[in-house]
Amino acid sequence: MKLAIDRNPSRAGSALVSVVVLLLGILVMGYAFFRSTLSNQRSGRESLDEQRSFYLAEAGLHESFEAIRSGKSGNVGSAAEPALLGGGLLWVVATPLPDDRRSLVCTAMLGSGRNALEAVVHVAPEKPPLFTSTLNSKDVLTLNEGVMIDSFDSEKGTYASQVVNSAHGFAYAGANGDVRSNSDVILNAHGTVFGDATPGPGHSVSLATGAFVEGSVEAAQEAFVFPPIEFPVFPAQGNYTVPNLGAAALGPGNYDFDVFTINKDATLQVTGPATIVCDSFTGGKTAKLKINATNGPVTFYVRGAYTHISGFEASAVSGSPMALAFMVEGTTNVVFPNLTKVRGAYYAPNADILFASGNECWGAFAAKKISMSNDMRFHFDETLLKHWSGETGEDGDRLTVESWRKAAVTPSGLVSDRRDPTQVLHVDDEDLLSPGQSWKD
Amino acid sequence: MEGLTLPAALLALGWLALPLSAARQQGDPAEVAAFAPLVAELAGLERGLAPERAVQRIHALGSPSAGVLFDALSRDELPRTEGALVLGEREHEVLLEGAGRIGRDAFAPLWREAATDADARRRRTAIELVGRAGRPADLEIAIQAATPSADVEGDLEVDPAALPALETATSRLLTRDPGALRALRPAILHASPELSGYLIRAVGPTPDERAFLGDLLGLDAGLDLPLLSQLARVTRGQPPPFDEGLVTHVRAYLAEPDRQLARAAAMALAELQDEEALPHLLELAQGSDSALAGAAFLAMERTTGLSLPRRGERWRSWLADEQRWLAGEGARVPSLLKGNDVQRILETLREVARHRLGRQRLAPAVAQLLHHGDRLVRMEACRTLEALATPVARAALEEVRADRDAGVAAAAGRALRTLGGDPMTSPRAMPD
Repeated sequence: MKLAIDRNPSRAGSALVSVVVLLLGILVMGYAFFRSTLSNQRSGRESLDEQRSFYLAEAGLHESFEAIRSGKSGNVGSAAEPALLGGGLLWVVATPLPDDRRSLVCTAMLGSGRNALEAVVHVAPEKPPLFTSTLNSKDVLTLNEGVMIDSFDSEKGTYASQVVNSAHGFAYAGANGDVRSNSDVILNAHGTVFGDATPGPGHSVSLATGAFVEGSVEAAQEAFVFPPIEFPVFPAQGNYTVPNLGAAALGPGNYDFDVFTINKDATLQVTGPATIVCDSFTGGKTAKLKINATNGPVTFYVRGAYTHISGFEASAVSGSPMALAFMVEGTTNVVFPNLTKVRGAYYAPNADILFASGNECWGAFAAKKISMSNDMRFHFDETLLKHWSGETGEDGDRLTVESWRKAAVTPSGLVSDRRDPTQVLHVDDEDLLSPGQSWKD
Repeated sequence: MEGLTLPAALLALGWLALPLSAARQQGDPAEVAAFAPLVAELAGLERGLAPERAVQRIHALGSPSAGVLFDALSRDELPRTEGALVLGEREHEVLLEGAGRIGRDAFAPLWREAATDADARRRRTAIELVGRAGRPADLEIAIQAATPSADVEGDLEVDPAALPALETATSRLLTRDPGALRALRPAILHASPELSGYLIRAVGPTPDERAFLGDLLGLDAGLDLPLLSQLARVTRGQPPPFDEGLVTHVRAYLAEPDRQLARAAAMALAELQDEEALPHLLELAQGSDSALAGAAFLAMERTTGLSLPRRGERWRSWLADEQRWLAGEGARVPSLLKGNDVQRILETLREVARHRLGRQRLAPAVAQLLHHGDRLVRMEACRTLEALATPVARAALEEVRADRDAGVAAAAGRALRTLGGDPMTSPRAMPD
């Protein structure tokens, strides 16, 4: 059998054309596939670089957190001198914000990847204020019927000039009149707190009819640490007495007395900054203690008993904040007699503070236990936050991350230029330090 | 002449006062003799006598000594031949305990009489003794002693310690006789706001007392805040489940326009661990009132045992995921756990451990597997209960601590340790 072969000359070479077309098609497809693979590879590499730079930025932020915990500013390296980590470059710019917060922006570059992360952190002061609350007690804190607590700032003027708000049937100044206890906080009928009421860990706030708390009532995570009073040591000067009807002045400085007495109807003016250590303190009947804290606070360290006779009054001279504190070590209760106007801060970790009827207070009080009569008024003086430090709780982390987000990489030129980071920033690998070595003050 | 008269008068007064002062220092012989038996026992405390022994001896003095005991409890010091014996907290407590053991009959006439006495200390003693030895019917006497009636108040000394003493006495009465709740109800409803606050705070954590607080809700708008607040206080640390009627009643207060009430309800629901309230709490958490939002977040954290970031959208997505799971796969969990396929049971347990919604309902089903024949199932059940972090299964875990298999016993121990700290939240409960 013979195969029939078409030998038509007009069709000669047509197979070659088909083959060439086919080959061309295959070539084009091959090239397209090749390009696509290359593109995929590049995109994969870029995506990987992008991811790695993200992780690098995260690592940079954590490095900054550690720097802050160690007392540094949080700045790590800079665009001119970036830190080298895992083959990439990073730097953190820390910007202070109000209320002990900081913004941290970490820029990271790795291969073609570019990323920036921003975190806002709160850094509690190394030694927080001692007087953070109007009333602060180790034992149960009971606010009697009709007691009202608010806040003001004696640096900004008188309390009366700051009473511009009204709520819950009261005219009040500020809403930072916090109260706290390491045990329960009890508000009897119509007890009113323009601020937070913070019970101790595992304890609660108990509210009677008509009670009102403007802020939080959540329990504290940790008990308040009542630090022992550390008495400064100065040369002893014997007793100090202002005689009946007498007038005296103590200038700025440090003093150590035995018995400190301001007798009946006497007046003593103390100009700060002054630190006065004494064995006992007695404010005589209708005696006056005038405080000039324009240039610094006045602190009395009392080793023994604090005695407040009826009518004794401490107050600030005109134009001065009422930056006065009594640190009372003794175990004898601090008693404020009827109708006393109490100003300043009192810290008595080993004693109770008792307010008889008709008292009104401008300041802050921290004690083992605090008792009061009905319908009292307490006004927390925010000036007190600026002086007198307490202690941080054990194992407390001062740094809290409040928020974090992806941020824009700046300058934008860093994003458009996808060359190796060392080329983009004009730096040499050899000269760069690790993040840990790049902390700035 | 006048100048001479005054010093002379003062001198004469001084001479007169001298013997009085000496007599006072030595003590009235009759009084000294009357108090001598008590002084002898109390002085023993100083010499190291155990308080319980002193209480027994005072108890042994019996009813005839009731009058002297009542008087002693109303004093700061007791006279003795030389000087006086100061009654501190320890001495007062010994006297009270001794009086309590002598019993009601000896003191009832005394406290009835003292309830209207002009001496605030005697009224306070009446309150304290009602707390130690009284019956529910005596609560009225204690309230009368704590609140001198308005028309005679001018003649009566107001005692600032009377109301706290009444709270303690009421609390003791309730502990001794839950029937006192019946007497307490009208007392709370008809008392002044100040007094009702103290009486409400005396109510304790038993289911009956919680139900009592719940029943009073809504009867007097002014009482709702202290009632919700006390519910939160007495429920804290109590194991679920709680009475559904009570929980529903409290949940309704989340919609209150009064933010103090809504927040108090959120704080109570935080302790009642009400999953039904989660959507309502989420709404409050996303509101502009930061104090209310804080309470709502706290309630969600306690209810679920989770510590998610306090952001509404994070909680919303978590809740949506969990509700989806609970309606789908979660609904099949009880039947899957009852099956015979060990591998399937293990997988289901691991799945349950990843969820917190419905944990109070699922935990008992998981707890039943603590007695499964397969050790792997028992061990995984322990791990799941640890992850669920609810005290519902604590009793069952206690039993398994003695499991014949050491691995299972150890896993039960670990779970109990996790539940031991704060039963509502565990360190593992932080998926974010």
